[in-house]
Formats: sequence, C-alpha cells, structure tokens
Amino acid sequence: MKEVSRKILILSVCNLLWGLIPWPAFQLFSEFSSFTVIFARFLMMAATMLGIVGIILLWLRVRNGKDANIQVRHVFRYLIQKNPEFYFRAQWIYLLIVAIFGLNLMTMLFFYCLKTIGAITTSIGVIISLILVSSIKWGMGKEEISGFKIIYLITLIIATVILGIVSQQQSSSGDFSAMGIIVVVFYGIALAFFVLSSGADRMSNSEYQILRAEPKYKLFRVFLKLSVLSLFSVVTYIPLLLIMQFLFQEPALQTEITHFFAELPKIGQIIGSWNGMALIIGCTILPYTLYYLLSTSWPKSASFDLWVGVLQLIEPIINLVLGITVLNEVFPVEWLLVIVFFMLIAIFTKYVSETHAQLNVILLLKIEPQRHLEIMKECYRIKASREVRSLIGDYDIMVDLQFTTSTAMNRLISQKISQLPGLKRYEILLVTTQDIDRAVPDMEKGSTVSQRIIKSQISPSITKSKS
Amino acid sequence: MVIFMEIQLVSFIKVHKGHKGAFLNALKGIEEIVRVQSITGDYDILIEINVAESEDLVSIFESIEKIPGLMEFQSHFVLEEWQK
Repeated sequence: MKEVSRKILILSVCNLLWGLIPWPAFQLFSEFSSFTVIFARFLMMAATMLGIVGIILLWLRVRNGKDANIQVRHVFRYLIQKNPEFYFRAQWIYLLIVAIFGLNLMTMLFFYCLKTIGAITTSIGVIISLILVSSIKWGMGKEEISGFKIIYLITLIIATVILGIVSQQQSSSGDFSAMGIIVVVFYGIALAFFVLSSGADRMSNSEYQILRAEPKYKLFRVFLKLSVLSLFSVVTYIPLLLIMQFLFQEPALQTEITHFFAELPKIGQIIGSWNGMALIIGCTILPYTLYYLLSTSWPKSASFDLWVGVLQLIEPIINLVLGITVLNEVFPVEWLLVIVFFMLIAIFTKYVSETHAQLNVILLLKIEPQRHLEIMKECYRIKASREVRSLIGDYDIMVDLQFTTSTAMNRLISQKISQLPGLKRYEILLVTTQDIDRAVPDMEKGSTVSQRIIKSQISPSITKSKS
Repeated sequence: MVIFMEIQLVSFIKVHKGHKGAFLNALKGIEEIVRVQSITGDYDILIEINVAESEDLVSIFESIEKIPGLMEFQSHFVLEEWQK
C-alpha cells in the first residue's frame, strides 16, 4: 500500500472513532451531565499526554544525560516562541485560544447538542463546518474553486437543509427547540475554527535545529502540543461554563451546568466505567494522537487540510446511522438514504476535485532587480499557487501552480503573469508525474537561506521573452 | 556551537532518449532527493534536494552524474520558500 493511501486509511479511522462518540456518550448521559463527561475526557487526556511528555523527557535524560537534545527548557522555549502563522503571538497564546474557542467550545456545544437534540440533528454542525472551511479557504486564496468543488458545496448545503427541515418536522412531537439549531450552528463555527487553526504552528528555525539533532523531536512536539492543549482546556473549562451560565438562560443548559458542579466529585466513576474508557481512550486519546501524528508526516503532494475535509464527512454519516440504529432516534429512513446519498456525492466530488483533473505547472520567472519581493507577493496571492520560491540561478522565482483546466492556466498566464511589472522572461513547465515525494511537510519547514555558490552545469534554455 | 542550516536546491535534468525510466529509479536511491517530478519542456526531470551542509552536495552530485543517460543538469539554490 502506498504511503499516502495508508495515511488516508488511518485518517479515516480517526474520523470513524470520532463518529462513534455518541455511542458511549449516550450511555453516560443517562447518569451524568454532558459537561461532566467532557471534563472527565479532557482531564484524562491532559494527564495521559503530560505523562507521555514526562516519560520521553526522562528517557532521553537517562539515555543521554545532560547532553540530551530535548530538555525541559525546550518545552518553555516552545511555549514562548512566536507563531508566525498566528499573528506572531507567543505559542502559548495560540494554544490557549485554540483550547478555548476550538477544543473546549466545540466539544461543549457538540456534547450539549448530542444530549438535548440527538446525534442526527447534531451532525448538521459538522456539515456546516465543512462548508465554512471550504468557503474560508477559497476566500483566503488557499483553494481554487472548480466545478467539482461547487457541486461539493451544493450537495453539502442540500444535505444540511434536508437534515434541518426533517429534524424540525420530527421535533413537533418531541422536545426539540429552535434554540437547538442555533447551538448547532455555533458548534459548526467552533469546529471550523478548530480545523483551520489547529495546524497553524509550523516549526521555528530553532526547532528545526533540534529536529536535526534529535529526530524524535517531531513525536515529542505532537505530545507536547496535545498535552498543553488539553491542559488549557481543563484550566479554562470551569470559567467558560460560568460565563455560559451567565450569558445563556436556556433552561436545559442551566440544568446541565448545575448538574456538572454537583457531579464533580463523581468524576472517578466516569473514568472507571467501560463507557468512560471507550470514550476517553478509544474516541479521544487515540484519534487525537493519530490525527496530530499524521499532520506532522503528511506527504507534501497531498494536502492534509483537504483530506481532512474529505474524510470528515465520515463523521456525520456515522452519527446519522448510529442515531437511528443504536440510539433509537426517530428519522424517516427514506430521508436518511437521501442525505447519505448526497454525502457520498460530496465525498466523491471532493475526492475527484483534489486528486484528478489537476494540471500541475511549474512557472519560472526572471525579473528585474528591486522587484523581487513585490513579484513574490503577487505570485503568492494567485489562488492556483501552492508554493513560491526565491531562487539563485538562471531564474529568480519559481512558482508551483495547480489548475483544474488548461483554460484557467491560459487565462492566468495571459492576463496575470505576462503583465507582471519587471518581468524579463518566463518559462512554463508541465509536471507529468510525481515520482518521489519525501519532502518535509509544510508545518515543519522554516525558511532557509544559503548564499554559497555551487558549481553546476548551466545550460541555456529556451524561454519566452516578455513582448 | 554547531549551527544546522538546511540547504535546498531545485535541479533540472535532461536525459538521453530511452533512459528516463532507469534514471528515475536511480534517483529514488538518493535519500537527500526529497521530490522528483517528470516535466515537459526543455528538461525532463525536476528534483528537489535537501541537505544539512553544502559539502553533502558533492557526493549527491557525483551520484547523479554517475547515473547513465544524463545529458544536462542545471541547479538553483532556494533562498526562501512560501507555502500555502
């Protein structure tokens, strides 16, 4: 099995495990508040991850003594370093914000919805997050819109609308309220924020030096990040609940929060139960660890974010099936089949748009001096560009582009590239096959600078001059 | 204190007719070559090399030059890289 296929399979397993959350969670909901269950989940996750970080540090210390390449001071250095992908804030601020608005809020809303309105309606939130992630990425110029992507978005919107309407109709006989849909929408927004922000912390140059000396730093960093994230989630959990209690007067929410404070001494019972262990180990620690390990070793040729988007659709499908088969929720089977059908179309179109119908092009630019940075910025802003490199050699800038049609490429070249100010000449190379991809993924790669000259055979190449 | 600095190169390779398949296979054996793409145009293959020190490049270039079928080889240093 190809490396990328194996990793896609593992990512599917992560989504499958997340999709199974309602199963053990519902058993626990009969006895505990949804907020108590989440708190127990994060508490155990923080304890486990911190334990793993401590064991790695201790093991390296015993093995290498004072010369260990990863030491406690590296933990503090990691926390205080600036994160260029998060407005140059310190890493701990980034992790705190992700913990509060991503992990905590998203999980609180998810579990609250799960308990009050059921697994089926809650799955709307996942679909909303997928629509948001795709739209935001497109708006930010990180994704190019194509026919397949439009179909993907339309099918997701149709599935969301059907789910919402049918859930609303079913609720006339139940205790479903319009407030539930609002909470689901907020859950979708929090999940989208988590998906977009959780990977925005590529390695710094100093970390890259540690990685050179100690290849296990990659693994260590994953556990360190997860431990800090879950620790921040635990620390900010109670203040966040108190704020929610103050802001929202929804009776069901107030009851859940009141029960949480009353049940705090019973947290051990959740952790010690089979359902608690299934939820904490099987549906939390295992998938989160695998997810972050994958994010650090994902092949450069396949976008991690995009595959997360494709496979995330597994979660609502499992939620729907679980809701009807195991949790005995009422939902017309014919509509369930229609929704699953639309979801499968969404998976297919997303897959096709990301893996096929792609035209990979390398664009080489020779430009006038003083225009370098300006042109690099221009190239970076092009939606189809994936990488922009500054070069020393025959050419000054190399741009890695991806198109869905040759028309889109022609349009870009004639309307944008050839009009670039200071352009002397350019060359277009079509990539026919990707034969090897062992490149370090995005988040580990820092900008590198070298000014040494290497002797290499320089040969003239046929280029197009700007007319 | 040893300072580690990654050096990144992109190289364009032109090979003699009928040698491309074997050439690509031979490139797979060089660990420092992190990416290989077949391209159309003046050159046949585009490779990306990542090394810790410039001295490492000597042996890599020697290995590439020894592969049968090499016609032309042109390299560019990467100064900066912006990824999306």
